[in-house]
Amino acid sequence: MPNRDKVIESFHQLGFAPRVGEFEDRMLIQKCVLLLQLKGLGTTYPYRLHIRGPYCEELNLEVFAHRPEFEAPALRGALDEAERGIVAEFGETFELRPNQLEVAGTYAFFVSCDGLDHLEAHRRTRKLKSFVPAAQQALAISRVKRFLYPPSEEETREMKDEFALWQSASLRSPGRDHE
Amino acid sequence: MTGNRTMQCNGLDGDLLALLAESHGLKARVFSLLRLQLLRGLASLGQDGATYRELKAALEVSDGALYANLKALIAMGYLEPEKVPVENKELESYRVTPAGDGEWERVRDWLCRFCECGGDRRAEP
Repeated sequence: MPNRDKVIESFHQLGFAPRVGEFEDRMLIQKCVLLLQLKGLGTTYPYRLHIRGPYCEELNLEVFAHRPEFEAPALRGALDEAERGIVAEFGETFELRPNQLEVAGTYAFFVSCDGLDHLEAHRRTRKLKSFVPAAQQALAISRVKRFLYPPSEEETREMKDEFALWQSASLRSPGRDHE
Repeated sequence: MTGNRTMQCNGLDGDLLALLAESHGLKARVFSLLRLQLLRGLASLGQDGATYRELKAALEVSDGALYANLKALIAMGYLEPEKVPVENKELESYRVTPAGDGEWERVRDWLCRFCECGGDRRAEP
């Protein structure tokens, strides 16, 4: 019950009223909940890796059992301020597009649930979602990194140091673009 | 020591014969690697199923092999195809039917008992 209330209220905040009978919307539900849960929404759905990536059977059963509640999501007073912040950040980071959320969710599962390093997670995600164009994969992975694994201040400083040479070189040659 | 091993073997042989007899109730046409992978993979996804492109990416098989085996399982009444729209494309999706679910449960149960029924050389002294 607390799980369902949080999910339904999140969907209300996102303006997402899923049509439960539609395959595409069920894909969105699965991956929205996974990403929000990994960010700390406070739900406890047990996701496992299936043939199509991370998937929660219990959530799917719940969605069908309480179809009207999911199809017309309403406020339930189930989210605290921090959780509403998580949902807002999710809405600012991702578009509700199945391919993007499939790639993002799969990558996040490999890193957060399987404990893989980012390189290996990237490799496995590309393989499992090989039907998604490379540019869309890159965008989804970049967004999920920003959402779930933002760089620390130290990492940001190291990156700035590393790229400083390139940046200053590009600033010193402004005329090239106009040749 | 030898006596113990003989007695154990007799017991396992007895179980094995019973299991082999039981296998006549299973559909031999299900027993190909790809068909078992498909049933196993789709059974846990219930009515959601999976699209053709997801199956192909996960199983890493050729279109010919995948299509032929999907078709065989559909003909046996174990899978059900469906057209589903995803991001403005119409994709082919497959899900397990109740008959397929039942058959997978029987096969899985039999395979588990078959594997537990001795024959593991690593376990021998």
